[in-house]
Amino acid sequence: MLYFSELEGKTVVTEDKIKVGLLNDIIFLASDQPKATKLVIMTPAKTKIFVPYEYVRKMNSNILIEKSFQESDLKENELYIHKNLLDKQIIDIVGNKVVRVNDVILQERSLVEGRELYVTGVDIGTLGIIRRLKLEAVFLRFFSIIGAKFTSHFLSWADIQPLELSHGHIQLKKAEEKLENMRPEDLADYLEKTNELNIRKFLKLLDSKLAIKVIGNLNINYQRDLFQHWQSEKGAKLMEDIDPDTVADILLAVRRKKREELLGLLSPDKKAKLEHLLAYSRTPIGKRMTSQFFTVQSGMTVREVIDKLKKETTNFSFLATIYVLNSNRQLVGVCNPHELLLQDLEAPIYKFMIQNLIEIRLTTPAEIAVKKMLKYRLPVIPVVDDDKRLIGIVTFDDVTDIIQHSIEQL
Amino acid sequence: MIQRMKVFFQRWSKSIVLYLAIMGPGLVTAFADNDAGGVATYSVAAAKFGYQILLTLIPITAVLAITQEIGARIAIVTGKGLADLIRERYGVFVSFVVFAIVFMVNFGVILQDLSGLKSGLQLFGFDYRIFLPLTLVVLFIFLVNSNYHNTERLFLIVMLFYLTYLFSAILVKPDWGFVFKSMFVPQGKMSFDYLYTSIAVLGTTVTAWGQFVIASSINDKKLTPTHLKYNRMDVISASIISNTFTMFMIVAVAATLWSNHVLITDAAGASLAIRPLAGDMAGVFFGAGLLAAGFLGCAIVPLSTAYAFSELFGLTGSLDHGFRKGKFFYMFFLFQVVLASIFVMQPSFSLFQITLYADFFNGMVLPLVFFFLYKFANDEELMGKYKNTKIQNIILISIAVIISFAGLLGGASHFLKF
Repeated sequence: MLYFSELEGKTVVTEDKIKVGLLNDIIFLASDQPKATKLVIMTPAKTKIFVPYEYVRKMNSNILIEKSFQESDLKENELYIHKNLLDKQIIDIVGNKVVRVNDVILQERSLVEGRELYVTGVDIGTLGIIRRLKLEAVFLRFFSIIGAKFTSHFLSWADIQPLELSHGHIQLKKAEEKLENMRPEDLADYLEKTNELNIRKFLKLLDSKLAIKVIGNLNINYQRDLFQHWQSEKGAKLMEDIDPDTVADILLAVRRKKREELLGLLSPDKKAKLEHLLAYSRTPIGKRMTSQFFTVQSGMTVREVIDKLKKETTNFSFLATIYVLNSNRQLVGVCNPHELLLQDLEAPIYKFMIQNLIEIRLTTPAEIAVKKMLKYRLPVIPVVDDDKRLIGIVTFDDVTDIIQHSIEQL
Repeated sequence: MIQRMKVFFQRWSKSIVLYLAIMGPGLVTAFADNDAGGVATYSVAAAKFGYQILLTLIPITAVLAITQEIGARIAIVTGKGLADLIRERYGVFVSFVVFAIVFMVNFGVILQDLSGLKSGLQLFGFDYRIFLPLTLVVLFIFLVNSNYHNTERLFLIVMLFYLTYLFSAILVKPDWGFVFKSMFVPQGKMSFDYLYTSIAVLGTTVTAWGQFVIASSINDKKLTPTHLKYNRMDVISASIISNTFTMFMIVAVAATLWSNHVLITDAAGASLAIRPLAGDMAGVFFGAGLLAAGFLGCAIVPLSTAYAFSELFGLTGSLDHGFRKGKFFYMFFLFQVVLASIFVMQPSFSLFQITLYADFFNGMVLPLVFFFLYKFANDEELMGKYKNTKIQNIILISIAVIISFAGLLGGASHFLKF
């Protein structure tokens, strides 16, 4: 999670340390999927250049871009974060003034290839104003000394009508009273969920090859909903071209009736392969699962997490990942201990945890779990129930026999 | 022929009805400029310089009308308050600084108005320790429970009390011919002190908070560019009417105190000093006017800070919302009034120092407000075809320059004396 105010004014350098300029603004698509498309960089010669986000390599203390970057122009439906969003008044559906945009929240999503940056929400709290005045660190320290907590107030992008943005209004989709305050740790998840309908529309526009690729990369909850919704014929047709591991995972997630329908419609070749994979699911993942895992609340600071870790994990045999839960005890993020140690002691963990999670369920075949761990290079993978509650983890140690077995078969 | 007359009449009556419907923001703001602080400044100036000070009235009326018209036009065209625009165009840091300044300046004015209300109550034999808090509580409850429309009505009713200045001026029996002449022809010698006093009179009439109030109340009233013409009439006629009452105030004081060489330091002093010279009724009328002026000021000036605060930080801020929704807006209003009351309730509280500080800061902050007016009124993107004309710009800039220069000079001379 990144705040726009923390990025603004940062130095932009190329990979070989040549200064390009200062970050002036970020351009994004005014849509339900508000993807950041370009950086606006103010060069030392006081001219503004637009650099597509694809060239960005790293975004932290300074911004690193590829040396062979190319400039581009503003396209239709593209807006600026600073110019069109920051400091503007938010109105609700009936036109009441609600709040002002004190800061803009961005989130990076790592894909299998490359990364994307999205606007996930806006900060509407007092803390946002304090951050803009560059006083956040002082303020938070003061509050932690007197033992008080200062919570942030966010508004998810899903509550904003993107169409109205190009008319210069930041309008909400509902009345002010119905607005719920979003927890920062849930922002990424919420964004994905509320856009089911739009993704469905979006998939229709893509050519089938690309659509299949997109579906394959989606979160399992989401894949389940899509296939549950589609006609079985259509689902089966798509499944023919999706990676069998993913298909098995989806089939286990959808309702039983749907599963049987889909299986019946698949080609015999594919069906045989899948039945073989599904058979594994009878050997439950529960057997391989350990319940020795370490969880923290998303609002905890690095200092608190380290304290808790010292107290609770003395008898752990293995710890590769810290699991972050929201107040509903749902899994919302992960963080490795190395990343934790690199952060400022007062930073809350939701600020830097990884939010797009790779997870499995109790019904997931062990083979698929292993494939996921190998594909995403994970030493450990979390097991969640239907409600996203963490019930256990599967470590690399727990599955070595499967890897051993497949190597022997070569 | 009759048909034509009928059409003509209909067109006119339609215009008048529209004007009456749109009238309000300009009138309220212009009259609030004659708040208790204003009455004090006019009284002191008139006691010192007599009819000579009338010469400043016409230029001041013009300045008031022109600047308020620009502010009102920006508000109507953009649909946003002045503070809204400052936040959107200049970001959090500038907003913060502007807010701090506006708060300080307005707080000084609130102190003036509360003291005016306190003296007004004392003049009529009410114990201020009971009636001052009581008046404020009633005012607060009214503001919370009423919408913009009813609040405007209350203000218009309070304004009727300004008529007492007219009665007061008639009762002192001035030489009206001379009064009229003094408005156009310079009387007596020009001095540095006269110049400073004129600026003080200008500073109390043309105010920074007036700009915030007119813009926000226009938005509360939901005026649109189709109303521009009538709003301009509202602003101009309001400036003329309110300064006519200023003239009556000055006349009442000049014909009595100045003619008899009685010097005063505040408006209550003027009311008391008028009695032996022109009869009890004239003094009573003058005191009643002060009471109304203090009341109006106590309502409008804290409202202007509250408007600015909620606009700068994006909170719900409108008289049309109930307490639950506009909590911050109303609490902010209350906070200022209570804080000021704590000072004013001290029996030994001296208004004189505060008047000086408030007028000086108000004068100094005006160029800053004019800077924003200039920027917004010339912004093609914001204003489109309703942009400032060249002449309007020249006037705006010269007023800002004159005020800063004179304010600095006058302020310096006053502060060096201490």
